[in-house]
Amino acid sequence: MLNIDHLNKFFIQGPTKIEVLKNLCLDLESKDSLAIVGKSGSGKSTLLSLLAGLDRPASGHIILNGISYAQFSEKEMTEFRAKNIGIVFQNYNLFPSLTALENVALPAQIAGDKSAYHKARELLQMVGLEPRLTHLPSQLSGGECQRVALARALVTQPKLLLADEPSGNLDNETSEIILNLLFKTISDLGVTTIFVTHSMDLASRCRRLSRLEDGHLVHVNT
Amino acid sequence: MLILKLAYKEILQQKYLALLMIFNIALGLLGLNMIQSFKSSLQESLKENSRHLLTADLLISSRQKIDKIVLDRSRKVIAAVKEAQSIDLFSMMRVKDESRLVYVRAISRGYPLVGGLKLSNGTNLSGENFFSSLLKNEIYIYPELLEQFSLSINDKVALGNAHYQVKGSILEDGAGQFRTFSIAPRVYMTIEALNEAHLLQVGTTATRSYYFLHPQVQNLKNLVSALKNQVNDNTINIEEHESASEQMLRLSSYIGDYMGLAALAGLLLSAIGTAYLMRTWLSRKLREIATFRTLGLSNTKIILIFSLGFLFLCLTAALISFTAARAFNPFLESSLRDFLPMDFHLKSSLLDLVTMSLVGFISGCLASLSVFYGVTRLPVQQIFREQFNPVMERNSWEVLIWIPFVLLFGMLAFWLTSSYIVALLFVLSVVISIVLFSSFFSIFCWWLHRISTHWNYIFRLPILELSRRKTYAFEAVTAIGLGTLLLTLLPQLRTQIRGEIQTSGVVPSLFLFDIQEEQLMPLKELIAKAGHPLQYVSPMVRARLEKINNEMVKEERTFLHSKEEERSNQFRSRTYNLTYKEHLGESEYITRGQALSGHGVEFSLEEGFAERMSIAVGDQLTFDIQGVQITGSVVNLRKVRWSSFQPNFFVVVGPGVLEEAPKIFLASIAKLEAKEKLKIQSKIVKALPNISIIDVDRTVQQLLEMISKIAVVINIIAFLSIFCGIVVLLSVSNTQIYFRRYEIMMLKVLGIKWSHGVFIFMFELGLVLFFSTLMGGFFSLALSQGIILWIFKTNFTPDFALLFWNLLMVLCFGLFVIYISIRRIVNLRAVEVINGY
Repeated sequence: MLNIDHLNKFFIQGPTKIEVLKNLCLDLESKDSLAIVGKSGSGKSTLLSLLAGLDRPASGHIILNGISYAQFSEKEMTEFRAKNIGIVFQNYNLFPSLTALENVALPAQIAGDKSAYHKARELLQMVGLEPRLTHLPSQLSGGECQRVALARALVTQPKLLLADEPSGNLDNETSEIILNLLFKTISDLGVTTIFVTHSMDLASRCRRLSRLEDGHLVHVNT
Repeated sequence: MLILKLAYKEILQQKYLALLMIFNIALGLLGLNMIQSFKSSLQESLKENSRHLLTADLLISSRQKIDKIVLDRSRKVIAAVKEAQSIDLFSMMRVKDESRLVYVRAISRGYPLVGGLKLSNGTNLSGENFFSSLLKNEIYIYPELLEQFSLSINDKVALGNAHYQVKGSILEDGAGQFRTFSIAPRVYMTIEALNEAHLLQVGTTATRSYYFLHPQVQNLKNLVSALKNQVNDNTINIEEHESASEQMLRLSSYIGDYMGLAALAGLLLSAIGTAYLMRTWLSRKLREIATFRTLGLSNTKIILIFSLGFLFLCLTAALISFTAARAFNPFLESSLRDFLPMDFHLKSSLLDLVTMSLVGFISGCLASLSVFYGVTRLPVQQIFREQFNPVMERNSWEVLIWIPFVLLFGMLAFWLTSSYIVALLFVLSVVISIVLFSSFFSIFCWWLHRISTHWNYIFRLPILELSRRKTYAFEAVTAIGLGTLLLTLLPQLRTQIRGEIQTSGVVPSLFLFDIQEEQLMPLKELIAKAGHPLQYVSPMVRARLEKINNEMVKEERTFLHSKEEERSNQFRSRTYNLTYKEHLGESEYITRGQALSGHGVEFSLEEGFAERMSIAVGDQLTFDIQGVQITGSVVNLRKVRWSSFQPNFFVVVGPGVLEEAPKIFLASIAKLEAKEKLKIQSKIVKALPNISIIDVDRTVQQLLEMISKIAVVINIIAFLSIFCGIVVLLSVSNTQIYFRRYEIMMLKVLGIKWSHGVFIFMFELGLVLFFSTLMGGFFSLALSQGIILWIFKTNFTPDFALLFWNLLMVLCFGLFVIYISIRRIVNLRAVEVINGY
């Protein structure tokens, strides 16, 4: 369902060409979960931004459910991302002036879904935040914010979920709760998920594990 | 040294913000620089030329004949080197069938004692040869009379019962006349020549002046004090050249005072903008500030770093505005020339630069007090947390921190206007406006929040942002609102004043005075023959106020030297024109007390006059009318519509008291066509040459022209104010983009097009702009109503078309500025969201 075919990405810094991703390939089935680990500077964020359609590769293809989107125009990419890709960030990136409900409903509204609030309510219920619908992010704990962020990422029923260190800013106990919730939800909804993480605990929960080394994805297990 | 180095680095790191702050402060100081330059140049010029303006070192004058004994005693005290005299009065100059009101100055040998006169042909005449250049039947006139009568030099004119030959026209006479305010051009003749005209009759309003030259006296003020004590008569005016020029300065600077207020409003807006930028600057630095604290730098030193950086910015801004103000000087000079007693050139000094720097710095610092306070409350210990994202919170009680700022502007307003009432009104207006703007804005946001529940997210998102985090917008709302208020207020007032003055059918065409009692009947008959009635015939009796409630009237002085004090003292030392009648006229009505009953000695006072003199209903007043004292009670206070141009008086006496007193009469003639007016005027002047006539139509025209000239200058200052408001809006836009850039990028990540993202922000800031512009316009109408009611005692008729165009202009310009500043949203790279914040 997700194919990455000979993906290349480099940056020019002064006279130096830094190759971050070199002929990277990946195949992921529907409802699969993949953890990508790697040391700092290995290119994890770059890969994530390419998968999210926020950046363009130098060459190669990224195909999601038969649609190759790596070379889309910005307008096409924006529309595609709104309907097909959900992202959970390490820093949540919630809108501080919107309530939990409004934060979750927003992507659906952008996608033109008339039942955005209904779906948002359901998802917040699913993540256990029904009593906190009208609370602003400043009134929520870190764990609660991450749950809202998760609900937001899933409200448009994306084909692909990208999670960047989803428990990176949380303490161990909260992290455990969030990860349990995360895996349960993606399992229930059958969402294909890619995690970028340093956490081996998180990595061990995924069906597949790959390491990003020297611009290549090295598959560790299936 | 470390502090200075850190301060310098701070500025370099925030170049854009620093530039914005410099621009903001420079704009705010520009208007004030211009006004300060005008006032200080005028003061210096009047001081340097004070002897020339008075044409002597010391002057004794009175509207009544001065007793010879008093004069001789004064001469002994003064022991002058030289002396001269003049008699000044209004009269009518006739050439064939045309006549004009002129101001005659009849002089004695030796005039002017200081300085000289310059004729249009280039000849300079000093006191030595001015008098001797004139034969008994010769006069010098102002050049405009040549034009008005189509005269040439050596032509003949008539004044009173005599004819005179025009010897020359005077270009400069240094006699401190306000050319624009003058309703009658000046004519010079000798005192002997004046006697030929038989213009001086009983009751004629003439001022007799005695000039003294005494350059050796060290302290003229002491001499004047001693003289006043000796003379002890407040109908006799005694002044030396310095106080005379100070008086002239006060008169000239009225325009400067009110322009100064408009400029002060501009500075206020820029200070508000500075506070906002300071908050932005420090908010970006909170992590560094926390780090400084952990390294051992105290809060005081941290604030000092930023204050020093700010001081440097203020100095730069002051220098820029100082330079820009100098570029405006020629324009200001030419606009204000007609309102000044002499030609002078605007000069700026280093002291002005230093003063402006200090004003900018102090006002900015006081406006930023709440920001500095926020820095001291930073939770430094949280720096150990990974998610240390400190924000500068605001509390509602912090409004108290603004008190020093408000007090500063009150003091500045007093410094500019020397009027504590005006200063108080200014401060109150600003405070009330800010409170009202903020309150109504909160209500506006709440209302939008309520009605937009089912709106598309493109409109809903900005409304939610505004309703939940509106504090950021308060500065912009206040700045734009106040700027719009100022910009729209002045044109509305000008339109109303013009309308008030131009009201047809009410203002008479001709106003007559110096009518002797025996001339009244012949005058009525003459006018009746022309088919018009003589209207509002009013007797006028000159009197001196001796006592109020049995206490002698004397001057009151405090250290403040405020305008209120000056006005009050001027009134206390004057003689008054009383009238008597049974009933009040149509341009006045009683506000307190009873109508005149006709029993006993009763006084009716004009309200403002009574207030200045601290007189109330029931008080006893004693007037001296040529040696005869009359005492009576104040039975009522009344409001007078001065713009009716009817004969109106501060003091009206009830019937049965003054009928036998020596008097002259005033009267008016209603709306006349131009040709008819000239005919009637000519007939009156021929038949009764001592009667003086003011052409009210021409006076009104002069007044309107004067208002237009002032309006240009005041409008420029008002535009500067709105520019300050726009700069604040620009600052707010830029700052919001900066602080919310990750939110903007998240919107992009979630699937919003850049154009929608731009629209969302434009809509949000556009709402702020729309609201504040509308409120500014609305408050300007309310304020106009209040001012017109207070000054003219009539209702205000708004010019909605003018208001609409002014508001539209502000809106369009503001939207353009917002668009320019947020367009750079499209340059943001959404991919940066992956890196987090």
